[in-house]
Amino acid sequence: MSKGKADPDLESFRKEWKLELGLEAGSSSGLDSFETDMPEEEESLEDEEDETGHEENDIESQAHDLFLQGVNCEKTGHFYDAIRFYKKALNLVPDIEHRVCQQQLAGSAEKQAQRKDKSKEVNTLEDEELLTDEEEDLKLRFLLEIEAKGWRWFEKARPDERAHFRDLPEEVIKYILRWIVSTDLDARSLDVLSCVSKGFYVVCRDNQLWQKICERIWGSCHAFQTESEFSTYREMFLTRSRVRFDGCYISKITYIRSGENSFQDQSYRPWHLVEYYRYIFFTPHGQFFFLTTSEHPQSTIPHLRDPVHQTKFNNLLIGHYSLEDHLIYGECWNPNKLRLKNKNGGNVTYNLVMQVLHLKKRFNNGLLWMQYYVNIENPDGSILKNEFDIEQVKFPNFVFSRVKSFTREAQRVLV
Amino acid sequence: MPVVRLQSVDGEVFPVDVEIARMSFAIRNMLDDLGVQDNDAEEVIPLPNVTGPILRKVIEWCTHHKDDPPPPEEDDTREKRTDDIPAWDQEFLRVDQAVLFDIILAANYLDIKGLLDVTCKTVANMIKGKTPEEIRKLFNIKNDFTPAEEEQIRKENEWCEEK
Repeated sequence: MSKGKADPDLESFRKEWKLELGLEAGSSSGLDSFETDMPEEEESLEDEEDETGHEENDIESQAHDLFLQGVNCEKTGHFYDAIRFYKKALNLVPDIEHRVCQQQLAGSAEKQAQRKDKSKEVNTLEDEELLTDEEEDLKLRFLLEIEAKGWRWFEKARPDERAHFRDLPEEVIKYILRWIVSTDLDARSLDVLSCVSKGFYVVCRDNQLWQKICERIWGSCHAFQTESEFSTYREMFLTRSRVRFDGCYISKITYIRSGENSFQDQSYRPWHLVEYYRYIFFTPHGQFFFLTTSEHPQSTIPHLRDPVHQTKFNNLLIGHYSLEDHLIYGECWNPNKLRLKNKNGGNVTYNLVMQVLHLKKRFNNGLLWMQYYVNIENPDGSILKNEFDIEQVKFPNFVFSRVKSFTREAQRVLV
Repeated sequence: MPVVRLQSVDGEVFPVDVEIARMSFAIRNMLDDLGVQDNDAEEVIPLPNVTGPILRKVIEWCTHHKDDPPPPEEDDTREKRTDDIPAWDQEFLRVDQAVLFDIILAANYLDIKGLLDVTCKTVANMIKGKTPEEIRKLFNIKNDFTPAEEEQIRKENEWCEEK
């Protein structure tokens, strides 16, 4: 019930705050503080003149808007447009990036401080710890609403008398969620489900469920010890370095090979553009698959995880990996050639070290080669190690690509 | 083979082999508590939460799976992948959604792990890969977010929008 009162308060406060922030962006007081540490002479000159001060506010807010438009374009992948906006913004105000950043930092700090006060009013029973970010804010709000409705978690869109999600006890709902996540750690489906309704949002943001997911990736001890670095286990899952399981990392290698000269026309010098791909994908159980082929992604990726189809890739390497901070250590071998001994009579293993990258503001969607070597076991037991030179041309980064079929069906429930 | 009689909430009585009835941990406990082992064919066990048609489905499932090996311990199956839902179960669960939920409720109440697993898995697979709107439609769920809340959640879940 207390919630009913606090909610409009919170809303009106947010509006006020946004208004304030908007004013501040244009006001000269906010501007002066940034001007002080500006090296450019012309700018500080302008600052002394009162009339130009006002004009400059307009210019800055214009630049500010352009810059934000640029950010939006970059986020949505429209890089050319983004650069255009950035350039325009920079022409108006050279250090606009710094200014926007400062403003946003100040804004979020203030917001957070205020929000904490507000949320204390909303609920005094819950730990403060729960209220550290926006996400918990919503979860708590929804939970209170659900409580006010007598713990009715789900509402029917059309009224009827048939059995419905809302008839299921909470433990069964949670069990279904564990089936959704499954041992494939399909967190994406969980987050999509959280967009369905308030009830689903609350159950899908269950920290214990996310803890289970994190423990699968980093081990129960390690996940627990480092939990304090993140506000929730969900945040740990989303932002911490790891490999993704819901798709495949792809690296395209291109090189130019000169062709045969025509013997009639010596000036004609043909060349070929050669393309091939490396594919790597990881399972949550510590296994990984590594394939080098000239086949295009469209014809390869859908079959990568199909055990029947896998046997058709002659040079598919299978192995185990481990994750240490940002680095992946993997060792793999070719199961088809394991018994066909190489000419020296020993086994061949491929060893790789890669760094997890966060490309284009997305987490864990890239891999950078750090080391790659082949170990050949001699008949006498000694090991010959051949290391490759990691050149960017021959070993370009892997970029992640989601594969829907990888998480289409649950195999085992998450325990 | 000894038989127990299960009575649904609407008064229907089903004679069931003890071995099959004991697949339900709830019934197993009741039988053990009552000391009913092999003789009392007259003993009637009332099941106040299950209707006749659903109880018939549950008994059908248990009868088909009576010779299944006991479910493996959860921990040591980490690495293994089970086959998909067996064809018979798929056919068995090709029912109206409300019936599916009723079977889940019965499996939960009667504590039949295998049946609860296969039904929850079915629901989970119905949800996976769908958009929020498709899920709402499929399960008759009201979108009770305000536009502002919806927008905030969309931002929190932005990573899901990658292709």
